[in-house]
Amino acid sequence: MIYVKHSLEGSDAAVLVAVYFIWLKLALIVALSLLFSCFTTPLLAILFTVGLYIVGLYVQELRNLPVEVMNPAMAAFTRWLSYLLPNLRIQRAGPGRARASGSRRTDPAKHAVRVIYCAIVLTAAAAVFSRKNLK
Amino acid sequence: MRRVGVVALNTFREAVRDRVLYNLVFFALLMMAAAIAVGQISIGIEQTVIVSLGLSAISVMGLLISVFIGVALVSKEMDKRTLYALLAKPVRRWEFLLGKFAGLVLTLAVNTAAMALGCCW
Repeated sequence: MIYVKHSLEGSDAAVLVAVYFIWLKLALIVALSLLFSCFTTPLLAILFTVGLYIVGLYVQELRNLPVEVMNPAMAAFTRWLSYLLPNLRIQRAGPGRARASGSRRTDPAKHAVRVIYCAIVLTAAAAVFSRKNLK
Repeated sequence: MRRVGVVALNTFREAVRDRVLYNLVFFALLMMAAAIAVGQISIGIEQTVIVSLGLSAISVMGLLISVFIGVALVSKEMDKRTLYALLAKPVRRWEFLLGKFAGLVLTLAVNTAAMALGCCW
């Protein structure tokens, strides 16, 4: 950005906020990969983690499925699933979008949800690893 | 907590010695440099293209690092049988796991910071 603009502005700090949220997302992925690697083979753990990452990108779509044309049980299941899975989509930062969606991106609730989710996954991983038979 | 810190520090040292890590960071920086060329052929949204491509590079490379190194953290220790020597010491299993997690998260923090610097530059 400095190469192109020859200077940095205050609004460019939104990029650093986006990088922080990417880092939080990566921490969550590490926790998930640790959880899966505790009870499966490395290849399966990679597949599970990548699969969960891809599903995590579309959690919002899963929540907003057209429930009126679906079976009520299926609608309840997809809604339940969307709350269970982590939301891994990040709003892209940019000079225009920074002002438009800045308040949403810096939402402390979103930050807290990721940290709590990470703690829960790590606790589950520790529980599985503690009971694992290493013989 | 000290034991978690020791495991985390050793995980960090082990990760930064990995050549794959440097290759991935290099490709991320290369992608950001390419963003300048892509930005120049876009009309009026040069800066948006550069930021968007830079953040995508950080996200994709970070994902590759976290998945591949994250999965190998525990399984490699079990394959090489170094885990048994470690757990024979007064280290609880959850402390080992938390240390591994903290070490890789620290590595990712350094990596994303380096890539963010590349994006801002």
